[in-house]
Amino acid sequence: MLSDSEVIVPKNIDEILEVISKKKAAVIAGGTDLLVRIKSGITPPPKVIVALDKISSLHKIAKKGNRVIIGASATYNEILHSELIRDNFPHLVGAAAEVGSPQIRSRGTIGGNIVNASPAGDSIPPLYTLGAELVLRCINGERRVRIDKFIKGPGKTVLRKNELLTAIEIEIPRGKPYYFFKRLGTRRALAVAKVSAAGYIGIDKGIVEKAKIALGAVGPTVVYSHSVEKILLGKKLCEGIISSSAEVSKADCNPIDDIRSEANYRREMVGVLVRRGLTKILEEIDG
Amino acid sequence: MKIKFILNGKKTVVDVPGGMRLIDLLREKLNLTGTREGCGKGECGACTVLLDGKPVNSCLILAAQVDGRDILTIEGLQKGDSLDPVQRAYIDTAAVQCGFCTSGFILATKSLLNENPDPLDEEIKRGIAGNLCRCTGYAKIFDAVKTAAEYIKEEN
Ligand SMILES: Cc1cc2nc3c(=O)[nH]c(=O)nc-3n(C[C@H](O)[C@H](O)[C@H](O)COP(=O)(O)OP(=O)(O)OC[C@H]3O[C@@H](n4cnc5c(N)ncnc54)[C@H](O)[C@@H]3O)c2cc1C
Ligand code: FES
Ligand code: FES
Repeated sequence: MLSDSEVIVPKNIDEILEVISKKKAAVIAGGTDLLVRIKSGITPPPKVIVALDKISSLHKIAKKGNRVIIGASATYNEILHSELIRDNFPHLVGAAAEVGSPQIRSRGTIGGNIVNASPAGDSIPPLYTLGAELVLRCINGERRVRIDKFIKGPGKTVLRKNELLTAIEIEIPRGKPYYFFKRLGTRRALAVAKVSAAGYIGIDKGIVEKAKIALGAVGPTVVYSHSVEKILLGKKLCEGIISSSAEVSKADCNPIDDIRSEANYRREMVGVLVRRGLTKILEEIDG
Repeated sequence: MKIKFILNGKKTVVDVPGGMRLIDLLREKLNLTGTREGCGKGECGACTVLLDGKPVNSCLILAAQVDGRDILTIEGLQKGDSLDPVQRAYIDTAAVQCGFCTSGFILATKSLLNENPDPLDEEIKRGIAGNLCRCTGYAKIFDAVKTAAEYIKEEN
């Protein structure tokens, strides 16, 4: 027995919203963060646990106009197998493919990754580059918050006790977008990222007209590398620009020493990942 | 609460306390002790079972969450008296030493080969990346996966 929690498995979203509006309850999606935290004694066993398992609508990945809507319970596996995500946001697929292990990818969800708000959460940097909007519902209605406004610190978000994250909405960029996701861990599987970087570059007539670069595991939250964005905008991507980008990106993060790595190493590696990511994009443009 | 699910092909109805994990239900209530608990935190894969055909860590699921779903444990793999080709492959290649990790590896292998009957070396590595073995050094486990793929092809 993990705990003496009461567990409720509602059949529709309204019932879930009802429960979390009345009781102090913990939502469980895949459980790959929550149950580890309870087992390790980091989170005290909740009195009530509400499971999302029976809400199949929360797994849906669909296109609506020029937006892609990802249900909060979409698992990494479902993201990996979604043609819609593969065609539109390959760096999100790249990130999902790097998560944990087959077992974790079968259960872990994108919504759980976001609400868990770890600076090393793999889905988060790609979602930052896309300016993903989160749909938060409670019994009284819904609100929308952009992901970078949602996450406040490690494990801290603006989600209220009575709110459920139901979907992640992403506008499909116009024109021909280019993406990258790069990450370093101690080993290839079952290792949380030491450093990660994701990028979205929009190019019009050979000139960078949109640039979003997000860095993971190098601060209390995922951060944008605004200096790199500034260097790239209005220029033609080339080796020189990539070198300057890699150099300035190191100043855009605030890494710490911890059991996984050291601050100095992380800062250097941010530069390396930004260089690798932009080089991959340059090859795609030239290719 | 009462849950109904398919366990190793059989309809099963049990009463489970809220905070009971799937692994506790299997081992303690249903006496299916082939599923092992190593770490209890999703890191070792000894507790792997198949949920609707997909490998999952039974230490990271509450029993209540499998209501209405299909669970396959190592005990449900053999058909009558004949072992599953994956089980035979692990025995024939001597990919088992202490055996603690073996049920988890066999089920991870089963789901890998269901999805990808002819995996490349790199795909085998990815397929068993959620399982740890402290004894074999993995070389024999690698052989077992390849042998299992051959056995399955021969059967078909
Ligand atoms: C062995 C192991 C390896 C891992 N490797 C990685 C890795 O490589 N990369 C990575 O990023 N993560 C990794 N993780 C962490 C974890 O698997 C992911 O963060 C996963 O996405 C969490 O999703 P979940 O559905 O399992 O979350 P849960 O544990 O179900 O939930 C996590 C938190 O989010 C809340 N929550 C979940 N869904 C909702 C919702 N819809 N609305 C409101 N609140 C919600 C829960 O209340 C809880 O606080 C790993 C975990 C383990 C155990
Ligand atoms: S016991 Fe479940 S993964 Fe180790
Ligand atoms: S055989 Fe002993 S842990 Fe794998």
